[in-house]
Amino acid sequence: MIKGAFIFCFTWAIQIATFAQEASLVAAPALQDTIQAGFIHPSLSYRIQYLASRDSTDIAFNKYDIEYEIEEKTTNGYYRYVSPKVADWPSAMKYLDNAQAKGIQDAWVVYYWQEERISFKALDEIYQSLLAAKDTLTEASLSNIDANNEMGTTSISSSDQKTSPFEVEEYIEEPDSEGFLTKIFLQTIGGNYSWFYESGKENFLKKLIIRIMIITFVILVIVLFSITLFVRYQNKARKMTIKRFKKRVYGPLTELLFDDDISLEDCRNKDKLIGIIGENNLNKSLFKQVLLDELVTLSQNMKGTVKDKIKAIYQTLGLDEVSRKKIKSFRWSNIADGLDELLKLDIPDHLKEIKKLKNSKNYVVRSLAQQYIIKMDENKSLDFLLNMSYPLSEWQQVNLYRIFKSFKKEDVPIFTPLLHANQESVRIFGLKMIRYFNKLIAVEKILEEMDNYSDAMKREMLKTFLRLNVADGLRPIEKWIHVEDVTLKIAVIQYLGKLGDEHSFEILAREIERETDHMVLFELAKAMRQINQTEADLALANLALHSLKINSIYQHLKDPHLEETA
Amino acid sequence: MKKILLIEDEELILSMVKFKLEKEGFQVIIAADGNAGISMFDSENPDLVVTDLMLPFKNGIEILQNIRAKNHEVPVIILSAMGEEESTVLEAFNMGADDFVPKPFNPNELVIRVKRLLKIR
Repeated sequence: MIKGAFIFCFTWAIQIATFAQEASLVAAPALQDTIQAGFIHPSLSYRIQYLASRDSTDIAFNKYDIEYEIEEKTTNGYYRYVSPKVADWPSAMKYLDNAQAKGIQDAWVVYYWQEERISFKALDEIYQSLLAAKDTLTEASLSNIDANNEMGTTSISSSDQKTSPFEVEEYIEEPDSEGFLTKIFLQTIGGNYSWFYESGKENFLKKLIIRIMIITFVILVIVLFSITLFVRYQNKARKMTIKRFKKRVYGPLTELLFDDDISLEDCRNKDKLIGIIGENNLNKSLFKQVLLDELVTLSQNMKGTVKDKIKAIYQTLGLDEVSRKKIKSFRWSNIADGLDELLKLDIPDHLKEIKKLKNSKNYVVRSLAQQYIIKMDENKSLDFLLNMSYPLSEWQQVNLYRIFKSFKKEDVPIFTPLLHANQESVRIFGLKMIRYFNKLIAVEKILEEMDNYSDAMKREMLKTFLRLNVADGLRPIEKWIHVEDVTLKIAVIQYLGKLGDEHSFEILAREIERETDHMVLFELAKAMRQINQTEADLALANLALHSLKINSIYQHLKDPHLEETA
Repeated sequence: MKKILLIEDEELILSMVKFKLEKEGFQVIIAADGNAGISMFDSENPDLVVTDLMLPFKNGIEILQNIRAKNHEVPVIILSAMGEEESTVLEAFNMGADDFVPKPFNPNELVIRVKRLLKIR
């Protein structure tokens, strides 16, 4: 955070300083224009610097085939590869144009005053002092400018190379982070940005906008980076604290749960619990959460007295209140956590509140609430499933089934009310439960209503009848053999094959004569053989004479290997 | 004093079962993953192993395979969640597991099974 703030201030300082510098340059067009207009001074000369290298025989440079000299090794250990020295700006520009044409795009102008290399800024200072002294800038010099007007034009034409003395010197000799960022930004947005290096009021405003954009971008990056660091730091600190608290929880919990001297009653004694766990610890909400999480984990893995003790500790320390608060939260993840805790620790006291969550928009919350209601409702009422806003997914069905499985046999409901639920998935779930829990008592009700069932329900019902060996519905079900839904048709055939009689055989035999679908034909043949193999073989052998499909199915069914495996 | 190797990745359960078995007079050595469990077995030569089925690096079946490849005698008790595949549990028995304690479990029951396998009354 401190680092972020420092970077922020530093960036602003650079921006303000640079901006002030440029503002002053805008106010004094002076040297730049004068040089480009062809100003000549006996002490002033130019070179073009092509590159700087640590090697005085830079082989890579030779490919440019360009006239150059090497300046002595500089203080920072580099050799400068430069053009011959020239006294006027247009000549310098010719060297620059030539260098750029040959591919040295980043060549730049360097300045010499009395044979000593100086920066543009230093040259400008000399120029300003000369102006103030009105010394060398005599009328002759000024007339020299006039006389070189044509050269001045040449000079301006050279500036089409998107290079100006100001830009080159400032960028190369005094690179600062802001200038670098600015260049990157300008190159990123593309187009002709030479105006950025020119003076004038209009450009001043453009530069201001660009700088504001850059500053905003930099600030945003810094802020986001700082937030990321802060969040990471917080998460890390939280993880460390949780780890520390876990270690602190193990000792007291082990003592409470496994020490035979501590009874279940002791675990219901708040003072005793506080004495063992420590009041200071219990005053910390994160510690309470860690304790709660550990109790939940243990309750899933332990049973018997230990589990009773876990529940007693949870309630005596008021941790159930922590879970209850979570289910009042606005965040679904908190609600789900609270529900999960209450469910795993078998706390039935919040049924009324949790019933309100049965139609929650959130799938997880809704699923947990449904499990809680089924598990905790003493009456084992399924009424809450009758008017559901959302279908019951297969995963939800599996979870509810697991809860029913944990019930004592006499507590498992009949499930017939579910057959009238508004959601078809709930009605199908009801049929599945009747099947899984062998609720033969529900069959009569199903037989009464089955003609009104959808195809999906009929399929589920047939599976149930097959499992429960219910042959009572044979006659009405035989009529369904003409349905269009192939899966339902196959379910009907399989049902008739297993539970059918002679009448069913006749229906199957009639159907096989008109059926064309290979899979259905196969099931028909199989079902006929299940009811009466001798009769079926006779019928199939006869049909096989006229139908290749039936012949192949018949041969397949008669295969002794298949019969053995069957 | 009989030495028991306890392999379980859930730290709290590990520490509690260790406490319980130690209270019953056993020496308990612990490992929190499959690799550590196998190296503990090699170095400590325990009289009985209690291992969870689902463990990091090497699961309970692999540990059992490893143990049986070296020692046919040492009893191994498998601790496992009820939801675990039945085939996995059967595989554990086929591999030579001596007992299976489904989770959630009663620690007293585990102690009885341990004592029975070690023929301690």
